[in-house]
Amino acid sequence: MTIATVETSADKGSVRISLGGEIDLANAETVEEQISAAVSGEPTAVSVDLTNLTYMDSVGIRLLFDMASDLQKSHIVLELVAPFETPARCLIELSGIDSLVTLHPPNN
Amino acid sequence: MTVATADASAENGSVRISLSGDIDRANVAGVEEQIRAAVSGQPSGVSVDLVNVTYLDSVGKRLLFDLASALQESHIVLELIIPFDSPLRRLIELSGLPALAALLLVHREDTSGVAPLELVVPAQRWSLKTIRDAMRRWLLAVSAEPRAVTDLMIAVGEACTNVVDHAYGDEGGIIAVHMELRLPDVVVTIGDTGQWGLPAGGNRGRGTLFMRNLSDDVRIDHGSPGTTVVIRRHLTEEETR
Repeated sequence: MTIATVETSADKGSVRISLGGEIDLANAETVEEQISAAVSGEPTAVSVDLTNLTYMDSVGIRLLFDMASDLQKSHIVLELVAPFETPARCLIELSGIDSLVTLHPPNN
Repeated sequence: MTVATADASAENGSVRISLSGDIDRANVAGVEEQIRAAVSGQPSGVSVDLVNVTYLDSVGKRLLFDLASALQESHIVLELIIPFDSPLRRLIELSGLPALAALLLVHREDTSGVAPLELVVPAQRWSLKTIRDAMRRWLLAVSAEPRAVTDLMIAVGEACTNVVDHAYGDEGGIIAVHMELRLPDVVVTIGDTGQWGLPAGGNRGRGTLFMRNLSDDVRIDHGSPGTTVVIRRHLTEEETR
């Protein structure tokens, strides 16, 4: 069983989502549903923290791409938090999604 | 009296149960009870080690079948650890269990002191975690460095996701993963007996991009039937590319 944790908090219209555990083909749909619910209240800013993700692959990256383009329609630039040397950081840079989002820490 | 023992240990939410001795009609109920108790705490993965089982017949097979089916409902693919060259392997392969359970085939250690990892899993999405857990244990045992572990897990994950997504129709099938050391590299072979193409774009295209960028070499051989992917990656930290 692939287990991911999705923790959300909101502060004055700004939503912060912290992902942990693993995301793969088995649980991506569930994670996506939880994320959609978290951003359903017309937030003014959205940030996703990937620091505690121990595994993700192209399935997780697709989820982030979809999310970034959906938010773009509401004129929101998705913020991703992914420290260097995490699996998420490496895939973010390879995928080119960093041109669609604000990345923290920023690229050198 | 037939004697069997069941020892259970838990690590990172996964339970490992080691069975040994003879399992037959006389003691199967007792063994089943112990297994049930071991998996009662909602584990995220379950392995049953059969390496030291000296006798197993149809009642034992039934026990494993019931366990695998029950775990499947909790989205867990049961892992069975069996010797590569044992009669038990054939018994289990013929039982239909490979459609439900992952088989971790244990090789004897070769001269390098590290036996290859050989895993056969049902081609379904819940197997992906079973594959990762087995890989993680093996890579730790061969002292692979963290960066190499992450890269290999993702590269192999992409190849296996391709098989789950595209190789088989409704009737399902298996994924065979073989991992071995060929110093300074780890070589992983992922095989299926279905058919999948490599989409040029979209998300699967991205998966292939990751697979290639995180390894030192990827070879994809589309046979008929079946596709074989061979991924090679240095065991040490250095970045690929």
